Amino acid sequence: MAKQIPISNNIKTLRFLNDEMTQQELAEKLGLTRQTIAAIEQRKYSPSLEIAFRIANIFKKPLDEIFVYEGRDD
Amino acid sequence: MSLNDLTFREKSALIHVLALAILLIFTLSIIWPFFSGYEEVILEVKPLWVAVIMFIIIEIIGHSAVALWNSKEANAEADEREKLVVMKSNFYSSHVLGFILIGYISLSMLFQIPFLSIYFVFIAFVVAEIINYGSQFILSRRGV
Repeated sequence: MAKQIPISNNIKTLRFLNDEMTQQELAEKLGLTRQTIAAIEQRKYSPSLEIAFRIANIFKKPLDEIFVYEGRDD
Repeated sequence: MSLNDLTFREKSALIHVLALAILLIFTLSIIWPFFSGYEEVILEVKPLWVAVIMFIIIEIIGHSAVALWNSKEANAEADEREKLVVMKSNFYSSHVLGFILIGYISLSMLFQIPFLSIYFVFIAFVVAEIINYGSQFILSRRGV
């Protein structure tokens, strides 16, 4: 069973809204592989803070509009 | 899940696991007569060379085929997720290798066996590598 990280994101929606950007195009902008973008979208991988900020810059959105922490801290 | 769904690194990990599994089976078949009661059998190191050469040939053929299949990916550098997958897998396999070797040394000291079997060390190393590449495949598919 696939492991899911407690951080959701709306990268897939943002890609669609940005001229239907493909995973490959986003990956090339970030210097990552397409599989890593797919893993981030499917919540299988938590990107580094640097990559998270760069994704936010590409879509011109604040970080917390893209990534939402859904874990419990209590 | 078909082979087309797998990335170059996942296919590469599977080839490593396959080649190492063949190497392990071959090595176990060499030492099996020694442990099955035929005391006149003397273990030789020469068959290990055959096993290692077989392993290298499988690795070369397998990786050449996969690199031709995924030529673009094969030349790409690993990104942060792929580096993390390799790091975690190395962590698991090094712990297994350490545990097996410390266990073997402890048993050797306990039963006063003053030598280290090349076959045992070889098998321990192969098992650790199977865990390493098996973990890489699982972590890549399941998430890291």
